[in-house]
Amino acid sequence: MESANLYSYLFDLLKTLYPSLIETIYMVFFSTLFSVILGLPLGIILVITSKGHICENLKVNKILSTIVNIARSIPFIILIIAIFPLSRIIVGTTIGSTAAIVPLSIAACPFVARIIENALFEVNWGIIEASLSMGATTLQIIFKVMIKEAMPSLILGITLTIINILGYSAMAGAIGGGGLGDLAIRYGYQRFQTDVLIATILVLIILVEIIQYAGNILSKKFDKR
Amino acid sequence: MIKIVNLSKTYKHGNQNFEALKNINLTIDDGDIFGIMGLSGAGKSSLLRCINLLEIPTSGEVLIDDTDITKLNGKQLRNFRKNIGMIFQQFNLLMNQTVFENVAFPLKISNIHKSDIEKKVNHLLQIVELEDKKNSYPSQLSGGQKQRVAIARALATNPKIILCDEATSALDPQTTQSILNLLKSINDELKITIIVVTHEMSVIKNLCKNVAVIEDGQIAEIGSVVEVFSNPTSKTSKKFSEDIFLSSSTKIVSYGKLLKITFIGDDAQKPIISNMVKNFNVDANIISGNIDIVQNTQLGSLIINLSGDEKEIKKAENYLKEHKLTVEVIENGIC
Ligand SMILES: Nc1ncnc2c1ncn2[C@@H]1O[C@H](COP(=O)(O)OP(=O)(O)OP(=O)(O)O)[C@@H](O)[C@H]1O
Ligand SMILES: [Mg+2]
Repeated sequence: MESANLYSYLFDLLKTLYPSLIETIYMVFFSTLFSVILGLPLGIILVITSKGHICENLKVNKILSTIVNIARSIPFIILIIAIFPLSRIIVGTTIGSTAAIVPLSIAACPFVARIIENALFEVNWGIIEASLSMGATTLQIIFKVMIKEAMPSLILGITLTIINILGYSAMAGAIGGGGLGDLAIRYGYQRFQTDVLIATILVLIILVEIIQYAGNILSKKFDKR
Repeated sequence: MIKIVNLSKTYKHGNQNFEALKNINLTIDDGDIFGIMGLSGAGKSSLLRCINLLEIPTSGEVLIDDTDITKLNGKQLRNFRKNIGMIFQQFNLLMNQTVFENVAFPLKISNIHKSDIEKKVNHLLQIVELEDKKNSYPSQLSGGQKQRVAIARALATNPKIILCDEATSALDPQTTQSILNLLKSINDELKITIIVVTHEMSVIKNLCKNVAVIEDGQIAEIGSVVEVFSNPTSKTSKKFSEDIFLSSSTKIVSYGKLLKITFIGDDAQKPIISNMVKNFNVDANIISGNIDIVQNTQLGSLIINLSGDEKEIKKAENYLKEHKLTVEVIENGIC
């Protein structure tokens, strides 16, 4: 192949990929945002209501924990199908990237709750006790002590969440969510254009690498331990 | 004044109960440095933590300046706790925040104005001699420096009481001494009542004025440090008193000359002291003595108080040195 041809070939390939890439980033960004907005309070409540913690309430803890476990044990693809009707209510459609954000956020939410729970449990109890002895309120302990101390782990946890949602988003693409997953299926699977399939995989690998790298750097920046 | 009345604490573990504190009655005066000592598991920490209600007593009262703090509601208790600083064995600093931010924390949560916080924190860092570490993180500090940060933090809200739970147990002897000196000067200059929990004799004898010995959740002995350790009656205080009067920093008498004489091996059996008294015109008053077997060698040490004519004392001292005894002047009350 001549080099001019090669360039125009690659250019075409990128042109095919580009809109899907943007769709994927759009889906992943907003799904992460909403799943953290929902999952963060859930994770916090799971920690502070646990035995011996600052707002011990074993009943609430047990109920929430059970819900989270059930939600996490449902396979994602089934969850999407089950939740898609909800998208119509919330965003008015069940097709496209915007519609996919609804099931993605909800599916990732229990995962985020557990990730945040784990990170917050890592905070040394002595530090929380010291804060109590200084007369800190529950909210002050959550936001000025626990979250700040757990920041490096929280960032790594959210990085993991983003990468997971990226994977989920490819599945959502398969049932009309758009994005790179959708592209891979349409070109790679239905039209046998292996080159598009490979290019999609490469782009996904690069995306994951970038996200993980950025997450690691950011986490280190907050880690003074 | 802190008054603990009929305090008991029972921990519940499933359907098992453990009575960690049994009917404790205790009064601690303002300005005291009060030691709570005992063996591991005796209930020292439990008792200390009842004073700021980190541990809720099962029954009894904790009166601080006539307020029974067990009766306060959540908000009142939080405000009350600002009068009581606490420092811990493991320092418990915020690891992802600077020294400055750590000391500022109790002020920030009290919604104090930023410029006031800055002034106060700088002043506190000066007291604990850490101005140059203001922007360091705890992981960049030594154990002693971390404890100084914790002390500055405990002082931030101008407390009347500071509780210390094994505050020096993670530190080496030298650093321990510097922290004890700091606590002593805080007590002296800021008139803050200090309550220390410890299993280290050096803390009791170098820092505390009064002491309570806890055994199996009960007060076995209570009184001034000298009272308790000059006539120890409980198992614990007997064990701890073994080395107390042999320390060079103990102040026992303020007249005459206080000498610490150390003798090794066969010298331990010779009547050197009585010969000294016969030969020189001095009085020797034995304050304390002890003979230990250290690695198969007798190691004795004696603290005596010499009084009499200055020249005679000097001669007596030389006599001891001629007999190859190690003589250390603890206190020279003559000059
Ligand atoms: N939260 C708890 N639950 C159950 N038992 C406890 C609890 N805290 C303390 N205990 C028990 O109460 C007893 C006294 O404990 P405490 O921590 O007061 O001892 P301590 O004198 O401070 O010992 P140490 O020198 O080892 O710190 C111990 O037997 C301990 O096992
Ligand atoms: Mg203890």
